[in-house]
Amino acid sequence: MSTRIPLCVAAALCGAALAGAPTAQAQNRIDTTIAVRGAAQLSVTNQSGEVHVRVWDRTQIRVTAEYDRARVEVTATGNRVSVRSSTWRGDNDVSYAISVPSGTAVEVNGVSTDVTVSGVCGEVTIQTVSGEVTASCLTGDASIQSVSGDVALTDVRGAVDVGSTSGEVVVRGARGDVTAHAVSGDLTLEDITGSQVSGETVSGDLSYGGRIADAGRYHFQSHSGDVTLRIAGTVNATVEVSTFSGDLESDFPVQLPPGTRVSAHEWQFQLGTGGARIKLESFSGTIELRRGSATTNREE
Amino acid sequence: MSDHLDAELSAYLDDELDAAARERVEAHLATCPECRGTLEDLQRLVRRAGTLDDRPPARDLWAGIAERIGEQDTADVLPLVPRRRRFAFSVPQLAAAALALVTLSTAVTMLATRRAGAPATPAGTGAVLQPVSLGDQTVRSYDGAISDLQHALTARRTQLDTGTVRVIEQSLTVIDAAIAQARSALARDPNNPYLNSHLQRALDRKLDVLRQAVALPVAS
Repeated sequence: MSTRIPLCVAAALCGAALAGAPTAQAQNRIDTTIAVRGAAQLSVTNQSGEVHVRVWDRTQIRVTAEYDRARVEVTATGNRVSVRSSTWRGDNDVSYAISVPSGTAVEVNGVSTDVTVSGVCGEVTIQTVSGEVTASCLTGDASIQSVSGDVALTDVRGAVDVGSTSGEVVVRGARGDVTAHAVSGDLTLEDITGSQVSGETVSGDLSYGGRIADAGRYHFQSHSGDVTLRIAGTVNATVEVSTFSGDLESDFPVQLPPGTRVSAHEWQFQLGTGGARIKLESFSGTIELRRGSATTNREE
Repeated sequence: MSDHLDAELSAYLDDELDAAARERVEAHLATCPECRGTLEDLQRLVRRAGTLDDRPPARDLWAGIAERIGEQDTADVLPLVPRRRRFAFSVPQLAAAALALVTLSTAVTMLATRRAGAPATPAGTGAVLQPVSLGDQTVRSYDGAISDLQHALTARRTQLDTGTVRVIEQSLTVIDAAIAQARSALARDPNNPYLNSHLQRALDRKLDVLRQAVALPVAS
C-alpha cells in the first residue's frame, strides 16, 4: 500500500515555482525534506542544469532546487521520491542538491544535465545526453550512459555498465564487473580488480590497468584505437590477440604452444598457468601488453 | 519547441484516438509534410516489426529518457508511479524491434562464426566446421534495420538539439569508416572469423547509436 506523503508540500512547492517562473531575474529556491524508511528510491528528471546527490546519515531525503524559469515537482509515495523539472521556454536550468540515506536507489535522467553522485550504496542509474557524469564511492550496481558528456567513476564496488558515445569514460577503482563502451571517446579503466571486464570503442584508445584474476574474463576491443593493458602482479592467463593491420607489443614473453597454427591476424599464447582468458582486438591500432606499476595498480 | 505530432502519431497509427483527436491529427497531416514523413516511417516500421518476434533488446539505454523527459506533463503533481505505456508502435519501440530483428537473424551466424574459430572438433565425428562468413541475408537484415532507423532519425532531426545531432552524425561517420574498412578487409579474406565478428560488432554499434538517437528527447 502506498501513501502519498507530501501532497500539500508538493502543491505548495509547485505553486511557489509557478508564481516565480515568469520573472526572468527571479531566483527560485525550494527546500524540502521527506522521511523514508528502509530502502528508499529517488528518481530525478531534469532537462538541463545540475543534479548533485550525496549521502547523509538521516532516514530522510532532502531536496533543494534553485532555478529561474522552470516548474519543479517533488512527490513521494512510500519510500519512493520523484523529483521532476518541467520546462519553460528560455533558461530551463535547475540545480538540484539532494541528500539521501546510504542505501537509496538513485535514478537520474537528463539532457543537458551534469550529474554528480557520491557515496550511494543502492543501485545507481544515470542517463544524460550532453551532460557530464561524476560518481564516486558507489557500493551497488551502476548503469551510467551519456551521449557526448564525459563520465568519470571512482571507487565502484558493484557491477558497472558505463558508456558515452563521444565523451571520455574513466573508471578508477572498480571491484565489481565492468562493461564500458564508447564510439570516439577514450576508455580508461584503472585500478580494476573485478574478474569480468570488457571495453569496446571504435576510434578511441582503450587502456586497462589492474590485476588479472586467475578465473577472470577480459575482453578489450577497438577498431582504430590502441588497446593497452598494464597488468600488476602475477598473471596466469590465456591471451588471444586479433588484429588486421595493427601490432602487438608485449613486456611478457609471447610463446606460441607447439603446433599452434599461426595466423597473420590472430595469436594465442599462455602466461603462467593460463587460467584467465584475455581477448584483445584492434583492427588497425597497436595492442600493448605491459607490466603494470604500483602507482597505477592496486596490489592485493 | 516543436509543434509536430510525435506522441499522437503512434496513437493515431494504433487507432486509439477519439474522433476529435483523430480529426485534429488528420488536419495537421494534411498541412505538415514532416509529420506525414514520420507517419510513413512508422507505418514501414510497423510492417517490418509485424514479422518479428518482439523480444526486447539486451540493452535499452534511452527508453527511460524518452518516456520521462519527452512527455510534457501538465499536472501539478506527477503520478507517483511512472506511467508505463502499454505496447504501441512508438518510434523507439519500433527501433528496438528493428534491432531485435537483426539480433535474431544474426544469432545463428554468430554461433557459427565462433565455432569456426574453435581449435578442435569433436573426436571421432570427422566433422569439420568450415569458417562461416557474415551471410548476405544477415547483411541485408542489418542494412534494412539501419535504413529504417536512419529514416526515423531524419524525420526527427529538426526536433533534436543541433549539437547532439552533430555528435551523432560524427559518431556515425566514425562507425561507417570502420564498417567500410572491415568490409574491404573481408573482401580479401571473407572467411576470417575475426573480421566477420569485427564487422558484425561495428554494425551492432551503428544500430545502437541510431537507436539511441531516434529515442532521444525533443530539444526544448
